[in-house]
Amino acid sequence: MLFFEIKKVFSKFKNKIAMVLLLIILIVTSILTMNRVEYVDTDGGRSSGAAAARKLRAEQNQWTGYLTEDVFTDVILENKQINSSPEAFSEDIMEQDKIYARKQGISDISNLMNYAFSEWRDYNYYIIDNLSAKEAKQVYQKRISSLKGYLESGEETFPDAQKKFLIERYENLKTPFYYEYFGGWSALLQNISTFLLMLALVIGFLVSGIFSDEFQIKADSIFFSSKLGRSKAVVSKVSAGFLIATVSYAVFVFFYTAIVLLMLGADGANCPIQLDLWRSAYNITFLQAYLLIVAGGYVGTLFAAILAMIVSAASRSTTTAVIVPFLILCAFPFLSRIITLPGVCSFFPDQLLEVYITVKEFNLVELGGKVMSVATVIIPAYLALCLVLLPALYQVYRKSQVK
Amino acid sequence: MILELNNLTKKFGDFTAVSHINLTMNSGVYGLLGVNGAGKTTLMRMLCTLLKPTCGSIACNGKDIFHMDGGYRQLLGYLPQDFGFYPEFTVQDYLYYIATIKGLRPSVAKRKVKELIPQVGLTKAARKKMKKLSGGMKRRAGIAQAMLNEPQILILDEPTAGLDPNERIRFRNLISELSEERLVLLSTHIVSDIEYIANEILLMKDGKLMHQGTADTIIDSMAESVWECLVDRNQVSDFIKKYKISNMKSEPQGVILRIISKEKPSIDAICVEATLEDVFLYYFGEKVGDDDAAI
Repeated sequence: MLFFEIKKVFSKFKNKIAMVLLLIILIVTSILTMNRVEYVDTDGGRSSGAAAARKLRAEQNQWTGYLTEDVFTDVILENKQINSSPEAFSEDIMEQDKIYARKQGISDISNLMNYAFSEWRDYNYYIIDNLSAKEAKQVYQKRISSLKGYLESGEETFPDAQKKFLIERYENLKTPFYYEYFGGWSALLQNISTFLLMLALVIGFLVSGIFSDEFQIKADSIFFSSKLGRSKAVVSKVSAGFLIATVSYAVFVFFYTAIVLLMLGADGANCPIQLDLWRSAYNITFLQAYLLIVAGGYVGTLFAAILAMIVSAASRSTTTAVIVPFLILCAFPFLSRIITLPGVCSFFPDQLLEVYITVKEFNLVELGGKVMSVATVIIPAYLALCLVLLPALYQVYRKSQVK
Repeated sequence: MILELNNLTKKFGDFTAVSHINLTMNSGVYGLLGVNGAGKTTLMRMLCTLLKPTCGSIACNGKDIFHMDGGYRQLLGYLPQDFGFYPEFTVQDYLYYIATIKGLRPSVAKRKVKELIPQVGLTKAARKKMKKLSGGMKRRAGIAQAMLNEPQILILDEPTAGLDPNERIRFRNLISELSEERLVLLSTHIVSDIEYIANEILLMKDGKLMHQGTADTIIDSMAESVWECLVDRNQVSDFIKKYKISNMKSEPQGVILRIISKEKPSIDAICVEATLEDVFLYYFGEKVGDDDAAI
């Protein structure tokens, strides 16, 4: 029964087109993601993609290891040494590119120090040029002191409990950081939200006809007058929707991840996310951040798909059902921009596909006096909602009458 | 197998589609005859548990069919009037799918599909997609799906509508063949279909069951007689205004009219034997529209 339900979905011409569209999205997004990694040769020539990643990885992995005070001092000295070369004083862009090329190996660590010593909400690319060996010892403390300074500045509106939560998170972050090349993960995490959004929309499109097609093609009478038409056949429809959403999501996310990491390198999976997102309050690694983003995307996709199926079952219209994922995932972000609902917008389902932003910024919620990061609340909350909606979907459909 | 309808009523807002029907059906072919909008489809949909009655009940061997749920539908085969199908499925896949939702085990489903495809004359089309089939072939696939579970109750809603004469005869014979030892309820507004295969006829009008019985009983129930007379062409319009005309045949010397009337319509009119078509016109005359022209 399940096999036939799935066959019904994938035998439809418009769904075949949707799958082709997903493949195109996969290819285009993968190419765009790969092009995020750039490399400048010693002669100033630029390249991007897999070849650039290989070269950058080789250079940056020379600095693999724990980022101790000694390493920061070495990076400051290396930077100074490069800056003192004659090309560094040249006005010629090509000459400057050659300098940049020599700095690529230390660029991640330099960035980290630039963030550490820049003003909060600011980034000064040249700060490292003026850092001393003594300051190198303060990189990790600077992260905490900058936060405290920001929280005490009055520029923000965090309640005391949230301030305390953030400071504790910062203080609990394990240092020194372990460093290795993480360009592949960084590029992957930056682009994955867009890919997940498109994936969720197409999956919503695929499942939107599962419950309305019988009505549209007038096969409802035979379906509901059959022995299992109001029991197991409905379960098989629900299962087909769940499976299509889950398997399509898993397959396309797997291929996207595999393509990007195979081309750009999977090193850095266990490095802390703060190497890339210095101010993140999530004390997790790149791999954990990836899993969190993918989990959020999956729950968001599933939620949109289930709502689309409920609308499809209730309205008996595929067209109406198709609109639902767009409303949930695209109209909500727009709504949150025009309507000021502090706190509420963080719970909108579109946030499930924006976990990267949540990891990057301070999106906190307070429930029952306990402060939590938004992602750790909305993912289980929407998953629970999905589990409640699935039996509701079953009930809505099995009670259908054919007029 | 006894199917009992007790005071069965279905209302859609203020409109009463089926009104207080009491009926008991056993094995045999029942022909449900009525014009479009008489309530035949609504009645059949209730019998197939697709619609819940506003009041009244339907019992199968004494048990309410809505309480029996899947247990009742297991006994049921249904071919709806608007027969929808999955266009991208082959005939074979379609039948396998319906067999699955009818709860047939895969081995039984395979055997039944293998049996029914040649029986309904679809051997050559078995691997054709449903969307590529002709109207008649689709109907035959429809009857095959209804027969998959060897139903004890077979409900066919306008099964011959839209078929060409050859297909109609073929389909009628097929229904006769399949009707042994089961209760078949066949709805139509095509009188000849009923005349050939129904053991009992149910006349339905405005949601109510008007008459029930064999073709002869129904014919006898007509309170008027049937006359045939030859009239001048210029008199035809006067006769049409005055009487129910069940047939007109143009001849060189005038027009032969078949008239339903209590009194003799003209001096030279001859009283003839009534047919089911005359009965249909007698009861539904003023409501027979374009769709009922097939009589």
